[in-house]
Amino acid sequence: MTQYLFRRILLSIPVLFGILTVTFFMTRMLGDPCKAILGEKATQEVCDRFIKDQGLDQPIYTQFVIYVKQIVSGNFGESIRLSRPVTTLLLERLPTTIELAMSALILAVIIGVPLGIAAALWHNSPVDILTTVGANIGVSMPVFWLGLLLAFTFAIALKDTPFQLPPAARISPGLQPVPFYEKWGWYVNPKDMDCPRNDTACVDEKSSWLREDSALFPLFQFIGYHYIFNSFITGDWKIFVDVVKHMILPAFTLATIPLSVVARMTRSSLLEVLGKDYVRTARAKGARELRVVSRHALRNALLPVATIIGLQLGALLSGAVLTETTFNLAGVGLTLTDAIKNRDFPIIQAFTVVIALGYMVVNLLVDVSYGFLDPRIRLD
Amino acid sequence: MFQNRNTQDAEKQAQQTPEQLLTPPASLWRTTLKRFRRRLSGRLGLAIVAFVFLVAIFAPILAPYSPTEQLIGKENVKIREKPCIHLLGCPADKPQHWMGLDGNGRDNLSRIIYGAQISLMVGFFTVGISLFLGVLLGAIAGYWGGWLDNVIMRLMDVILGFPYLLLAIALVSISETRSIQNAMLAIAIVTMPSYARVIRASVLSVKEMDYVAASRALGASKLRILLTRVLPNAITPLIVLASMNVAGAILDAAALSFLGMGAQEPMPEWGQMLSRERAQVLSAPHGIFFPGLAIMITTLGFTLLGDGLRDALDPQLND
Repeated sequence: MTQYLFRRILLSIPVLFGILTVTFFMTRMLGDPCKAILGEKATQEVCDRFIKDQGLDQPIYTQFVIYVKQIVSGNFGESIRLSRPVTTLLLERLPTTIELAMSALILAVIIGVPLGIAAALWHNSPVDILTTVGANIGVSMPVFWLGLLLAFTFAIALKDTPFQLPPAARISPGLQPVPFYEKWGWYVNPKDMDCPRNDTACVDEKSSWLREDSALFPLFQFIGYHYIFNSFITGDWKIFVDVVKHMILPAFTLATIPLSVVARMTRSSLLEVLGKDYVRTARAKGARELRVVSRHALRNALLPVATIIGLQLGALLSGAVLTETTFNLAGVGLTLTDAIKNRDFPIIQAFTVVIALGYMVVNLLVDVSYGFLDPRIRLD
Repeated sequence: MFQNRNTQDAEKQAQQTPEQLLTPPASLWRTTLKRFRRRLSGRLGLAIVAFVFLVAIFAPILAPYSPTEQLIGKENVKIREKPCIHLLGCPADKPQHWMGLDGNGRDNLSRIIYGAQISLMVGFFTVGISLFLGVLLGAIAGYWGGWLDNVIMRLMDVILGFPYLLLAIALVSISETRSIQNAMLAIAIVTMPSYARVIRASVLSVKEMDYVAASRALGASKLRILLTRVLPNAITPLIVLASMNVAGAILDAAALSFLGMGAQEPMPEWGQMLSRERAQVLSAPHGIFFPGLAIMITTLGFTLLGDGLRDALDPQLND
């Protein structure tokens, strides 16, 4: 097992390096960022200064070395267009995508699996036909279209009913979630200290153990930006309800394709297992139907379903780009698309690396989980 | 290879009478066709695809207007006019636009009808390019092996390491011009690794077979061996994969156009139409409803057709 993990990680290093290289050279091929950011009217002089400031006048291999150094140190520089550190942007926007993808995945599983089971148990019944037809429509539906239709239905057609849902953004304007570490007194915001300017003694006295310059602070920020999670653990129910409401439509939109795939897979896999000899044996020895299905059939049928859920993650990230665009959620997908359009090199480089890394880690976890789900599979 | 994959057929053959055994066995295509016809989903998919093809071919006859004609000032209409169908209670003296008008005062129905041509072209050309590139690279990798194999297949791994839509967006961005052709090329590149893997595996499994060695001994060229010995062995998974990918290509191209990275005005591409009317979804939902519906129906047709083909060609393959 340890050996397998070690080998897998070793094997992924060249691929990761390939991704870094491809990303780097592809961003350089996107063209001159000056005109994209400063506008078409920027003079040559202004552009030259801009290129120099961004370090883009250096030889391409020097730039590549700088880029690799940045990745290793975790400092990705500053966004050209938004003039903010890329790391801060990542901490802020990655949680949106994570919460969106997780909600979609949870929806896909808690709806898709029971639907697939029902369709398989009542084979060729109306439930089965509806599930099969629905699953086929689900995979054929353009994500952005469904999103717009849902936005129209729940924001306009159902306006002023209890079903009204917000069509855009992540949280209602005016609401400001308080991060858990601030709420629990682990960190005191400098704004709340009433210290005179440059009075470090006062700041030191009022600070808690967690400070902005602590190495762990970005991690806490990252967790705190998961609005649903943060408002849940701090018990801030008003904000919790608001952010969950904002997440319902995007999560459903993103969930359609994985939901359909999961339902289809559960159905076909359970149908196959129900025809197996050991199910017949279970029935023959007089086990009740519920027990046959839950103990003998489902446990075996859900293994390929777990595989397919893991495989959906790539599609989920691609779908997140479209969902975030449709619902105007500032997540990784929307930020990255904007950055590509605007040739914002630092963002493209950093976000791609993080996505590719996350993708790899998830794939590895999926592979490792097989061993736990199915003891017959030995990883070596 | 085909026969022993399908045990059901083998059983059936074993039960045949002596006269039946004297007649030649049913060809791959005939058994496939027979199995295909048994499945409702495949037939339904074929019907939908045929319908879209007919709409595309007869677009000039079917469409009441030109897809680019602006009707403001020519008729008593305003931009984003709501759909008007006399049968559903719209006054008969008003111009009948079944799907309403778009933001430039053009007839949505005509644009959607012409859009079928673009969608079909996108679906088939994208898969065609992808198939060509994937088969070429996969065959080279499998046949020559060694460092070339390593380089090509690691490159495929890198492509698969990105979420495909983001990579497609980046590829489109490299070129200065945004067009449907660039979007198609980008999608083709992003989807080629799956073909490369299939064909490479097939080459590797066949390379050492006696009949390939025999061909080589007879002096057949590598290309000839590839085309006549290796490809036929991989044709089933390739067809299945390609037929499923047509639907994906149509959907992805529409998505790229929706993001502004594909088809541009005034091309009546469905994703692009949706994107243009997107901001007005709350006041004029018909502008996005019909293009999206068209995308969905076309994709559904190809998905069902692909499913049916897969079941017919390779009953052993799972979902």
